[in-house]
Amino acid sequence: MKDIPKELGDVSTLTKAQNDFMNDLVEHALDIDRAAKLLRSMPQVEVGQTPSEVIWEKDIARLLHYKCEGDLEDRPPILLVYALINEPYILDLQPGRSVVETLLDYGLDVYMIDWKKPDKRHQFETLDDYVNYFIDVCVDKVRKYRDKESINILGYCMGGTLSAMYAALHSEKVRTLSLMAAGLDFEKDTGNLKLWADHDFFHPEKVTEAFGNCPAEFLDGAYLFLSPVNNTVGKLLNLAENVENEEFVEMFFRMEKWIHDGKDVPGKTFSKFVKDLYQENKLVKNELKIGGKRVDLKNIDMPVLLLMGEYDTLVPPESSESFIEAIASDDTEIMKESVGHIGLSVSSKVHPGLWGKVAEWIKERDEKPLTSINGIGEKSAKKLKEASVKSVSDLSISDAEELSEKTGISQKRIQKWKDRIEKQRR
Amino acid sequence: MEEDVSYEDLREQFVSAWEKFYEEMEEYMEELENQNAEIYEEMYKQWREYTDNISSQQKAIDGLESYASMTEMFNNWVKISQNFRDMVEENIEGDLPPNFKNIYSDYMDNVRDVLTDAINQTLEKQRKEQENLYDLWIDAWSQMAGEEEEVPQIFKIVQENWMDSYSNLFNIWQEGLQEEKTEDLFKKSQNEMIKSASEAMQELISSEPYAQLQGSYIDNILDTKITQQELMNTYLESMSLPSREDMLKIYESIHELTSRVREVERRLDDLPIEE
Repeated sequence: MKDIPKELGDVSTLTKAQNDFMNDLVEHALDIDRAAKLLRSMPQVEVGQTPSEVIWEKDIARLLHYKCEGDLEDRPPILLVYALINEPYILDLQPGRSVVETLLDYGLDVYMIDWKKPDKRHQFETLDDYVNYFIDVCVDKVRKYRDKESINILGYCMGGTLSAMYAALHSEKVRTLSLMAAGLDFEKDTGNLKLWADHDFFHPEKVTEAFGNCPAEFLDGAYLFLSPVNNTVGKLLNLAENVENEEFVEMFFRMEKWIHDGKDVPGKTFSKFVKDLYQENKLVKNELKIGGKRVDLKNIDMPVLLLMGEYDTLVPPESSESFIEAIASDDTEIMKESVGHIGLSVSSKVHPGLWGKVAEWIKERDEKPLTSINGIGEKSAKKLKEASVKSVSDLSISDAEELSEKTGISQKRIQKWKDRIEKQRR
Repeated sequence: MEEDVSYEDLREQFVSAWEKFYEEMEEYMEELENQNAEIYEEMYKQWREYTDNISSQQKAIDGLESYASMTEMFNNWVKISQNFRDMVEENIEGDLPPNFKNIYSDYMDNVRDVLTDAINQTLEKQRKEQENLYDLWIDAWSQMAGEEEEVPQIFKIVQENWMDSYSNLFNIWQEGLQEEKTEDLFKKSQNEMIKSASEAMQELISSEPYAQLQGSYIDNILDTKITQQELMNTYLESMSLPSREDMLKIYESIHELTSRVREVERRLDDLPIEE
């Protein structure tokens, strides 16, 4: 037996270190064993709990309308356009961390396009079908339902990219455009998906030739490899460490359910999306054509909000930011949070702060200005805004007495304005 | 949900699993009669020696030394790769279908480029006594990847990062032992390994050589599937059965018809409703 090197200390310390290490190892092994069993059993969890009804359904799409209290008239309508991959309940994962719930709480009327799982029959569905048929029909349904000329749109991830295309082709129907973690300028994309999808290395037409649609497992594999250690070993260790924390475990399995609830992407759409956007960056170059029409970003003149996660490895913020330079809108805003791609929807850090701000941003731009009410000039409007009454609907639901105290405007005058709003509505 | 197990249960399971493994390995070894039998036997002995060293929990230095036997194991793995390569090469000289042969030729060309030098050097070099774990790993790497200048830069960086993590790990232990703070050595060691592995992998997957490797791997799989489909198409056509190509034509027609129906429906929706 050899001597122990001096730098390792004396025998008793080394023995203690070995004992401590082995004890921790065994303890940890038990936690990992429990975590692994939990993973194998996949406990049932509730997702997408905000009540909704289907108001339109066709082929691979259906339009959901979320139930809300009170008069719809006071609620600006917003259509959520979800990505073609995985399920949209990531935007309604659990009460308290639900984008849908927060938007409803802040007074919006929420609709969502729920893309259904395509099968072999749907491999010929094109970007044209998605943008100029499915999204356009849904927008028309909401416009008709709410008797509005234009509505607010919020697109998430690939749904954001599709929404940008839609807004460029049908700008008259879009009141405001919000794009959340949406890949738009792929030349600025520094992420690994962009690198792996480079035309020197990846040939999307081979995927569709071999499979018809792009399999969900193929996309899942790519996402897993964006952070291979954290998405495998790191995830298990994290669960093992928090295996006693019920809230953590529940959230963990909601996320697991979502991650494994993938869906194929129709072959034609997948192939064109990768080639025209990831490989040739045609959208911001204004060279993209859909259904024979050029997607001209200079048509995007409505207010635009970009939402991005600072640590998003799937859609790095740089691939969204420069979009603003390519459009005609002079009312643009960027909201960036210190989270990743999914964190924008589910992180406790962003609920309700970020989504409250988003709702307010939309409401301010959706409504007629306060000065459109007879008797309210710039001066009064300023006082009202300082008292957090930013829109006509805010004023209509405000308490005249309370508002009078806050603004110094007489209660009688405020009541008169409220009566005028009511009269206009009748 | 399954019940939690106690420490005793876990230990019992662990010991019986190893005993079973040893038994099965012994049975397996007896059955091996092919050209790799000797190599497997040698590997088995070394693996046994290695695990015995670890499980007897002797002094840390003994544990480190046992890693030296890993070099021998590694040499044997490389030899198996060489045998496999030779076997496939022999076979592709035969009468395999042309597409299959092409795919495999491409694949084996790639493999050969990477492995040939490594294999030659590995077999030529005699195992030498290692001063410490770091040197052993570096040596293993140079044997695997050939001369230093031939190693793609990114793999070299990744390897160096990984090596650094062992150095950090050693420092963590040394510091813990010197300061007699040994309670959280496990946690610190684990965190260091995860951090290093994550950084090394991140560096690797963000590199062009990796993207190229992944791309050619995916291409190989897809080409194989496409070739299978072509063969199946030929077979189904010869049997007068509908093939994938026939189905695709039908799906395409359905899509065209569906698009027309959608258009008609939209026009109907736009018509004013007469009272």
